[in-house]
Amino acid sequence: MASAEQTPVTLQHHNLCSRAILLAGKIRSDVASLLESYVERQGLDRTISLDSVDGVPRAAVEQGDELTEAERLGANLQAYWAFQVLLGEVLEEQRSHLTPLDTDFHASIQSVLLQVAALAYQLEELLALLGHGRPAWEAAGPEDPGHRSLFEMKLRGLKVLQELAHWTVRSVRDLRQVTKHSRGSGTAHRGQAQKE
Amino acid sequence: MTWSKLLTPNHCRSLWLSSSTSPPAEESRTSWRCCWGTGRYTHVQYERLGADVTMQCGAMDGDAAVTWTANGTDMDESQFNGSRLVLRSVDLTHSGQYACYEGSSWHLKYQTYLKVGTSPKEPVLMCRSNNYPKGFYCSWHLPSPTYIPNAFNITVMHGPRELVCEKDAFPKNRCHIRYLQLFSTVKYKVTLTVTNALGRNATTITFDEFAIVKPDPPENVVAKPVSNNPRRLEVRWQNPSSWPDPESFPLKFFLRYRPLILDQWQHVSDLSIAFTEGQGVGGKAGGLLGCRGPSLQPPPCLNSGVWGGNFCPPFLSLYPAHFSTGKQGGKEGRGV
Repeated sequence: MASAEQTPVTLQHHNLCSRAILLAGKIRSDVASLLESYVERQGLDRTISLDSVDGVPRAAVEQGDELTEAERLGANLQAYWAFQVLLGEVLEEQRSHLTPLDTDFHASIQSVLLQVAALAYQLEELLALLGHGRPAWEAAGPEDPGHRSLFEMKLRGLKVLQELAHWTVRSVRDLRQVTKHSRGSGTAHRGQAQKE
Repeated sequence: MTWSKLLTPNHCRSLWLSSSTSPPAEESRTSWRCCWGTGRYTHVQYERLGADVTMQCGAMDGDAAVTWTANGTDMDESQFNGSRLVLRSVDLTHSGQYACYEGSSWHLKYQTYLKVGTSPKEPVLMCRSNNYPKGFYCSWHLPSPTYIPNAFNITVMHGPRELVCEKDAFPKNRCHIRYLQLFSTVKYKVTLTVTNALGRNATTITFDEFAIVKPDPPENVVAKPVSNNPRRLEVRWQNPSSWPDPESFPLKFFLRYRPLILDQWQHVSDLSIAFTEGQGVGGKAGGLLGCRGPSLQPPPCLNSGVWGGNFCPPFLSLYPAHFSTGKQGGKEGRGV
């Protein structure tokens, strides 16, 4: 890759995208392991229906939905902001109610939480670098955590991890789309510069 | 609706199978079929393997003198009960054309085509996405033959939404579904029902969107010796052409090799296709294949592929796919 053909901003953008893609991949791998130990420790069946669990950002998108660069990155950032809060709740529920003695398990949740925070920060940087504004912070669902039963806590935790796992795959796709479009834009800009 | 109204030269298939409404229970084992060119309509009768079958000679009296033929050959009277034909514990050899003639006049009084078979066992159903994120396909088969025609009906549900499964012209036991959503945690539920004249059976499978992703083998796998270096082998391959978006969903490859004199395979893993302007980069170093390239983060593997054995010499296999979030994807891979 000839750096002379790319502006410093473009290079920085590509580097940020690459780092975010790698981090999303790492989170995905860690969450996959965490999911296995979560269902085992909570005594849950992986096939249990979680459709009734609300307040967790859903990764699902309609096929063919064309989002702008700002919309893609903004949606991802909002999701990871929410996951920071949700994972914090999951961790607290595990510590206080569900698995109070399992410190190794808590550490693995904490590790994922930290990585999610790092990914959110990288997305904030990327948005700023590309000249897009930060999305509005949307609070989690209306449910009062204090009124959840133990079983509801378990289901909610599973839902958080499942959606997070799917978000990481979506994030990689979205970040690659952003990278691809910026390569196209960079080519157009170089062509324009050469003509001038 | 009565069956007789449907008996025109244009209705030659088993009508109950194509009807949108179920036939009356007493008719469930029969159908009508045209005999092209004869102008006559033949009754088709389905009976269960091992059952006892009694055939009436049309409207003839129970003790009338008749002659029964099977595939044009006179049958022994020991199988008659008056004018009725009794077949005990039928097997597949009993399938065929049966006709009854009035004793003295040899007028044809009744004709039927007997088909002996079984009700369907639970079908085997599988679904796979080899072209993620476009869609997936489901295919099915029966674990054992029924020897009579079967009809298959498949429904695909994604939460409350029913998806269309477009049947392939060939093979007939496969249909394709387009993803309407991506990255959804809502599971897919596919139900296949198989029905024939003697019964029905069904099976249901449930799966996550990612669980069925399984890319096709790599294409154009070629292994060549490296000149002036007999201990090295250059392997080239390409993404499966069915994988529609390798940039957004890059594939990871595993390669194994062995000298023909040895039984054990050596593995080279973590081969992503990372490519710039036609050059390929391999995975980690090892053995006869001294690969080089960037070290890759552990990828978030979603599923496994199959060994591309068909494309490789016998000492080489290329295992084509998880999909990863390694470095940028590309079109051609090469390991040396």
